[in-house]
Amino acid sequence: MTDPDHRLASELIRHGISRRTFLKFCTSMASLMALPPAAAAQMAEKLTTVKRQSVIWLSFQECTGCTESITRSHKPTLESLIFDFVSLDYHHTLQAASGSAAEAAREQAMQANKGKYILIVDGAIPTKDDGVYSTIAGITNLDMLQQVARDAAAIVAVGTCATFGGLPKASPNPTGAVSVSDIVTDKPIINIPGCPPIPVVMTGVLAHVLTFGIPELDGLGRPKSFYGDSIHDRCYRRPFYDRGLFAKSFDDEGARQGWCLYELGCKGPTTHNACATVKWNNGTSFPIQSGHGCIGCSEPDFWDAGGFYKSISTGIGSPGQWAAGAVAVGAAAGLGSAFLNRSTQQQSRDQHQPITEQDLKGDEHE
Amino acid sequence: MNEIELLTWARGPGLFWATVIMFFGLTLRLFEILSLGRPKELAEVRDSGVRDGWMLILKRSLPELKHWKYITASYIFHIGLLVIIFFFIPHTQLFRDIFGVFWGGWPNFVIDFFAVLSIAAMIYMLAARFYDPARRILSNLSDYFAWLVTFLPIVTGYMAFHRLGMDYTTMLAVHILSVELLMISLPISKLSHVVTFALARYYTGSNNGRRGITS
Amino acid sequence: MSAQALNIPIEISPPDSGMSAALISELAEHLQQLASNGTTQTIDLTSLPISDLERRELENTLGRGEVEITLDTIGLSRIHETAFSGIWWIKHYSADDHLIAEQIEVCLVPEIIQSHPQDILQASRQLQQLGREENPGEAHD
Repeated sequence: MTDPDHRLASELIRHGISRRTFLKFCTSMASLMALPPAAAAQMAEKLTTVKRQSVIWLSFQECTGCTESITRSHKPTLESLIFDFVSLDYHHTLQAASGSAAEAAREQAMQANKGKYILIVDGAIPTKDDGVYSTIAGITNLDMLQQVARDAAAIVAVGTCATFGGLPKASPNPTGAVSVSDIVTDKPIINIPGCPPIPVVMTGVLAHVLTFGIPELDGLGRPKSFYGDSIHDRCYRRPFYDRGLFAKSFDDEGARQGWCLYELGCKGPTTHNACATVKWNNGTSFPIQSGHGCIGCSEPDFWDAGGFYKSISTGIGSPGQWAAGAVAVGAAAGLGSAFLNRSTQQQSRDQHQPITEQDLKGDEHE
Repeated sequence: MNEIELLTWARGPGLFWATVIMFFGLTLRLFEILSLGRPKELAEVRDSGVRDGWMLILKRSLPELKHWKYITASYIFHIGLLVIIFFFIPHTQLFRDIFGVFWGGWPNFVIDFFAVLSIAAMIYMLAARFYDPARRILSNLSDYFAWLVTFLPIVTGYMAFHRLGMDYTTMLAVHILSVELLMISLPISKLSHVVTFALARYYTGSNNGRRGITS
Repeated sequence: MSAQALNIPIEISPPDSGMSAALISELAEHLQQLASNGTTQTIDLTSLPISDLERRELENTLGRGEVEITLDTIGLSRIHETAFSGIWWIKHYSADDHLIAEQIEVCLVPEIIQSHPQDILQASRQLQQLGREENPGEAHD
């Protein structure tokens, strides 16, 4: 266990991480979040003077992809520095301890940093049948979340499962999976969706939380600095959309020319994330650059939004069949109604009695 | 319900009910109208009336000089609406999905041009309806309703495309919902003229022809 | 059929945004302030809506001065003074040589280059320690 009173600066410098590395880290983070350039120095100053922040990471109904995303880097990268700024007191995939020792570490951290620790959650929480579908050390995810959230200073929900329910919640949602914000309502929650989220987005938001507190969030609890624009708005293929040039299949001339993938089902226009600007694998590329449309993984219920290869202007389901069915039923009803109308016509024709001369004369006499 | 759930609802169940109601309603109406047939001619029929029927479809589609301003606006609006609906690329995707045919779309700036013209024409027509005493007397609530449910999809679509007002996802959802309102209104309002206008004109024209009246 | 190399464009050169011209006049103003009252300013190019092409053009326009500095901290940082004194161009690279931040700093010496007082203090202590170890006799005097 690290000495909680240790100031970060001296500890990091002892680990051979210089103040300049700090400043560089903070510069890249500030730049990512479009903070004013002066914020980098403030951030660095803050990071060197604060105590190490205790972090408890809970993994629920998930695939570990989010943890993979944040930790996978075969070289020491600036992003991985974030692990030097925090004291990761519990993360059942990464920690050395296991079994009751691991749970003891969690309880100790909760006790020692009561009301001050940050809780990071990845994975959805199954609620059906009292949440028995996912347990850790015999404790259901539901119970553990409620228990750990109670004394947390803030909660960071990482990945689409924790933020919006994600894949476990996809129809028909057999485990009754819900998001963190469906369970915890009395704590500040920062949502970092994505399947998985971009690593630097996670580290950037964490750096912001450590230094300036909770960043500005949008209506779905996502930091505006990363989720403020849609993929479409920042897409380098946008000019093709505006000119009406679309790839019709994945290997036609349009695809080769790098035209817009809207017709191939790209969800860029309705998806908010930083893929088009920050990109993946240290800024190498992102799905659209690789020739595949955005699947909208950082939006709620993206799995049930009508198929990855159907354009967003189309319906979810089979409107063609509905229309055909409706025409057939309408025709049947129309024939029925025609039959009724005809018989009404016939009836009135049968009852029709022509006026005779006698009738008219009779009238005159009255 | 967040904006993406609203959009998913609009594209899913919303579109389902709107499609079903519109196609059912329009088919039912067509069958009813066609099955009523003609009343018995009591006088001797002078002509088959076919020629007069077709002529009236054509004649009533041609501009009239008398109300040239209103008629021009109406032309602009109707042509604009057809262009927007059937040649905006995202719309063509929907039609391909429903009918399985794709006829190619037009560039966005062309669609944008027609959208602006249509909106302007519709506003002019509403003003003309409201400020012209004769039209005002002849108009009732259903006329204004028909105007509104036609106007909303164009305006919300224009706003969604230009990222005006609400964020794109919400605006797109509102646009689709407004279209669904229009679809549902089609069979139950005078907007059913989208399928009945030719029938009605032919009926009137051929009737007149059979009776020897010039229409 | 022989394999044909595909050349799918991944960036479209956008029309001139006029950003360069705006930046140059902004820099001129910052330089004047630096000269008159020593105010330093930083412009973050990474977060500006400016294309790579325009960025390179601006870099060329500003030219190269006499100083070039390389910093080695988890990836390199390359810093040079432009032909305009007091305007420094800073590029931070990641460990695998991806450009992660690009800035223009208007200052006497970029902040990241200057030694930090606390580090200096620490260094002085270490150096004294070293001195004592080298000359143990002196310590007794």
